Amino acid sequence: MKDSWVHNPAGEYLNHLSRQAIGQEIPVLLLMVIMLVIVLVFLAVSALFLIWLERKVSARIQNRMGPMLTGPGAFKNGSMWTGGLLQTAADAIKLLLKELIIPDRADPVPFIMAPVLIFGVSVSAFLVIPFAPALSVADLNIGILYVISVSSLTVLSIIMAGWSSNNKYSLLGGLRSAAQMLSYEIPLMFALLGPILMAGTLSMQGIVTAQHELGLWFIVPSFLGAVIYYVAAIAEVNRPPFDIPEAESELVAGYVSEYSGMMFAMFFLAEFSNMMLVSAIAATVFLGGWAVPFMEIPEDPTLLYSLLGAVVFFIKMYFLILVMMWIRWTFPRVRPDHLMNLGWKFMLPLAFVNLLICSGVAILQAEAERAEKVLHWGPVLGLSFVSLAIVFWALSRFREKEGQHYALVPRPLAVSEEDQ
Amino acid sequence: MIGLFHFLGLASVLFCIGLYGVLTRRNAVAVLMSLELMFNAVNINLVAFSHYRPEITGLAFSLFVIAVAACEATVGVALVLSVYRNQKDIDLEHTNTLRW
Amino acid sequence: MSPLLFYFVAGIIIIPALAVVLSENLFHAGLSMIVSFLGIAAIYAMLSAPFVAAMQVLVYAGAIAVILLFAFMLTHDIMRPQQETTRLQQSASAAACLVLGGFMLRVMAGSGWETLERQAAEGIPVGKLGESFLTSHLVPFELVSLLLLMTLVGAIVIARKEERIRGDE
Repeated sequence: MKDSWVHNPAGEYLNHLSRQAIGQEIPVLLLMVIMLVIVLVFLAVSALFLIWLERKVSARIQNRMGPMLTGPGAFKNGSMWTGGLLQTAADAIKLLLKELIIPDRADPVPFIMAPVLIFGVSVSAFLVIPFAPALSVADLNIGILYVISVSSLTVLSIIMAGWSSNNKYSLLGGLRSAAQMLSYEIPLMFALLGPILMAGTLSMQGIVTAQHELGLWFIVPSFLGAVIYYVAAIAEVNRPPFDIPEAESELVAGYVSEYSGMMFAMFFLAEFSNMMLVSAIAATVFLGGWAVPFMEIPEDPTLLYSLLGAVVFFIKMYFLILVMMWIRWTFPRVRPDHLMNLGWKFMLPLAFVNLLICSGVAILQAEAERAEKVLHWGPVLGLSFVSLAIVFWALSRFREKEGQHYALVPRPLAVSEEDQ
Repeated sequence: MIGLFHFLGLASVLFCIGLYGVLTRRNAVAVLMSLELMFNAVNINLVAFSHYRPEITGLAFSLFVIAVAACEATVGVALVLSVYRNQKDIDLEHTNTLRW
Repeated sequence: MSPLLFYFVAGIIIIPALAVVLSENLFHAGLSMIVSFLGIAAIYAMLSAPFVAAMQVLVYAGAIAVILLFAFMLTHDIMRPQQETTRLQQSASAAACLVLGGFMLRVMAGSGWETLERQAAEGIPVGKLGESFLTSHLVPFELVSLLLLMTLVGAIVIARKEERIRGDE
């Protein structure tokens, strides 16, 4: 359906290849299965690699070695750079062989559906991420709104897991996690509104091409929005320092306390794939996606250009994931009330300010179009500087005052008489 | 062929199911859930008409209905929690102490 | 759009809706309600309204369902058994709903809907929707934003813990 609101660029590309190779198109159902399999394989392989990377990165930050012996280092007494590559596979096999225990008083239907739902949501959201000009499974004209709305279903999965475990630690962990995710969805959405305004479209491919046409990654005018999005994304994914729901010292294991074997592996996999999802969205929306700098976008992208675009995209995505891992071992865990404070009273007003700045840039874009220039560089860079200045001002609110011993609580934007 | 009548029929059936829930259920939260079904039935109606007569009014009003339903669910839940705090019971057959 | 797809999605909507109104376990009722909402989002997608479908998932399945589940979890008393209404009330309500449903279906079947044309599968672009919010539908838009503000304040005021000192009045 050419005039529908959903296109299938990857499917069309595969049909194009198959028409050249065997002379006929692939039937629709088989096409859907092929693309789903490709996405799932990509997620699984990426997750395996990322778990190994996380263990290595955290080990090196903590001045130790990480997994060394499984994999390429097996017969060489350990290998520093490539050791432990098969460690994740070994862990996965171990989890697969474990017994799936469903507690006696637990509700079996939500108990089993919760990990399925959370991973399914992640996979569904991956279907609109543009890896390359011809490599997004579905190019919806509401792309980014679809991702946001589908990601909001992870809250339901966590509530289901917490309640159906019939365990007060699970319930507390589940409700805390749900409250945290719901609170941080709002600054996340507001931070994404800025680039949507500047691009003029909700479609993910459209946002990438708009950045290329503008000549400027959206992180420049919307730096404040990018920072807010990134912090909110870390809170959404329940990564440290926002990992109250998974805090081992407080809640046993939070909402996954009663899960064992493959169901636990599913939650773990879903956390990593959510991490990849938010990094992919940040790379698309703020860092320019697959658009190769200084190269024109060809009308009919060849395989070489697509692969180049995909490589660029992966570099950006993995860089953001590495930063997330770095942040994990740099900051202490945030207290729940500080977390709510940060989300509602600090990041949300700043997200509104970011929306103002981005509206200014969008108006300047419209003026530039009318005046037949590419862009009014002066005012746009001026607004970007304002955005940068606000970020530094916001960071300065985290400086320690006398008598205050923790660093991750900002002084409130309004004067408050309560003792912090 | 699937025409407008099918969508309107679906909406009517959903509305009547929701109405049955509102009239029958004793738990206040269950009544709120059935009420949400009724809101959704109305929304299906609006969006179906907006598809068959290309006007923007149906879509715009369906978004307003979604917003109003969110408000109503929130205030309803706040009231239910308040009642629970006072009487420890939200069975609608028992919350009739104003009627003597 | 094939009839098979429509009836499949209609089944996804109606059967969990029946579970919502008939199920004894309220948590299962809440979860079935979510499945119903997702089915309704699929109907909106079939009706070329992708924006409304995304809003349905985001607001209904992502927020309203969570509010209702929280309400259930906070007011659930496991000591008290769930009581059903009397047979008389159930049959009377069922009869009333069947009569209403039959009447509506009869009226709709008798009207001439075939004269209306279906619009393009592209649907109305989101930009037009936004424009209409600021031009022709400005008043409802502002009123809904006011309503949301009132809801926010009102819900917090109604549901917060009272901090009155006992013995004051």
